[in-house]
Amino acid sequence: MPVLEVVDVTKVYKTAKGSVPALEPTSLTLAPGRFIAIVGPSGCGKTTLLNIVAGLVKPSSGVVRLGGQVVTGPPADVGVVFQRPALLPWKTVLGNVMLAAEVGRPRPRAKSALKARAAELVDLVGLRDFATRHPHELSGGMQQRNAIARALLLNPETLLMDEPFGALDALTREQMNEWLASIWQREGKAVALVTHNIDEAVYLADQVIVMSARPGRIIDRIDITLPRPRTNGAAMAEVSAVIRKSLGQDRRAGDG
Amino acid sequence: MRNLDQVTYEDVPQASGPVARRATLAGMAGNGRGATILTTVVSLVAVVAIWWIWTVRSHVQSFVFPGPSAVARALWYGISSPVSASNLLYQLGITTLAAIIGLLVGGALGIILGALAAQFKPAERLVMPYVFAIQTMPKIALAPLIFTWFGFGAVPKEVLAGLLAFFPLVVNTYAGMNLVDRDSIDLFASLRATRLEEMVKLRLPTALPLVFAGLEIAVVNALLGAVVAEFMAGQDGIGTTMIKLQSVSNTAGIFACLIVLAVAGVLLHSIVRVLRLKLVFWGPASHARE
Repeated sequence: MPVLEVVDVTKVYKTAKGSVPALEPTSLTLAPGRFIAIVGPSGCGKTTLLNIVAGLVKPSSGVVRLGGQVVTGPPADVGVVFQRPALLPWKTVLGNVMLAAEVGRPRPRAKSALKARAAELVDLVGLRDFATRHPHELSGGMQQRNAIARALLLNPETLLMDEPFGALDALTREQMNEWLASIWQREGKAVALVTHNIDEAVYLADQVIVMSARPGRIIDRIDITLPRPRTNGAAMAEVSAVIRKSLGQDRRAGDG
Repeated sequence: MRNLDQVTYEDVPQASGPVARRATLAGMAGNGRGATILTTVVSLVAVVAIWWIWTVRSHVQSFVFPGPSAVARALWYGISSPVSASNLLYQLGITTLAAIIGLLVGGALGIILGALAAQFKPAERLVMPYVFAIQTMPKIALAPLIFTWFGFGAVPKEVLAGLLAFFPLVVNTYAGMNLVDRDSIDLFASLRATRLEEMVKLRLPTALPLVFAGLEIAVVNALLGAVVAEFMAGQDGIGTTMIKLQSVSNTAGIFACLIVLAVAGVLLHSIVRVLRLKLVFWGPASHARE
């Protein structure tokens, strides 16, 4: 039973100049514990798709089901990581992780158990020495790790990530990818990651979903069965090439 | 062996002795804060010196422009007088008390109204147009009306002070709460926070820097309001004292009042500033490194 089902979801924005289709009918599924990456050019609607799955945006048509339940607003049991960490500057690293426990439904929550888990997560993401520091004392990569720990606090089954490492430099990004792969293997969540970085997608995912330029639709689904940890550069490059070809064909078709 | 004037404060080890002391002094003068204090003291001395020389040389009448020694005498008398009516500190206390009461009531109302307007669209549509319209009007002009409605004594001072404190706080609270960025709102939505949680845990703290900036303005405005009310129809307080001194041409006394008033303003403003630095420790959003 897939943990996430997206069925014929579309999104049309109505502006003063008329309707702007952002997303054509899109369907995908995510099985428990699996990692999918959604790749596409800028503006193709992949962030819109993720926002719809996260319940932050209503689809114009179609339905999203999480754990069998139709999504009408931000669902429980889902952790979201945005492109910017959105940490509260007046809270410490630990405090920011605990924010997930302090707001939202359902209530009540076992505070002390969650505090222990927060401390564990802070340790897991490598911020143990910074637990009492504030966001402005952290680097961009550290802030994102803090945000990821926050998303994991309530032990959601699904993790949604929208270009979480997009604001980082290439070196840090590679390190974060390795780190994320190991965290994922440890935590076993189902992950949907949106990215425009093909190599990142190939390194991390079991399946890469390729989207076309705006208005976005799925033009390819590529399963990756390479063993983990993925160190075989040549094999990964082959897969990347396939993806690039898909995107290239779509671009040329669009130009015609 | 480094030259002593190249030694900074941080370089100096915690040793005693003349070398360390000289190095410390040189270091402190080079350090920003020391330089500022030094500049202020030197410029103050220069101003007083020029003032003294000018009053002596120009033979201006003391009741038009008193010299520094006359002012110093008036100040000393005013501070140490056992008669409460002529004790400037006592009178200042009366004025400041009225200002603070006005600040607390007007300020609290401003914060509440600003928060409500930021959180609820109907409140915003109702309240903010009036606020923005009245804000630019010189509210001191309302003083005669205030005396008609609230009589004389302490209340009109408090009302005028409150009025002048209200506006910076309602505007800044409203703006501060709307400063919240899209990402944080999405975050709270994804965490399934309620509207109340969003207001209390996100919007209010986000507004704090601006609220305190408004408070710094409001505190000085409130003091001004109390003094002006006293100018117009005061029965006590430092403003009233200044009018009384003016009627007997005791200009040195007026200068003394102004000095005392200035010190009070600076003190109140500093208190708010220190509070802000302690409570709003995270500074502007630009602190975050990418």
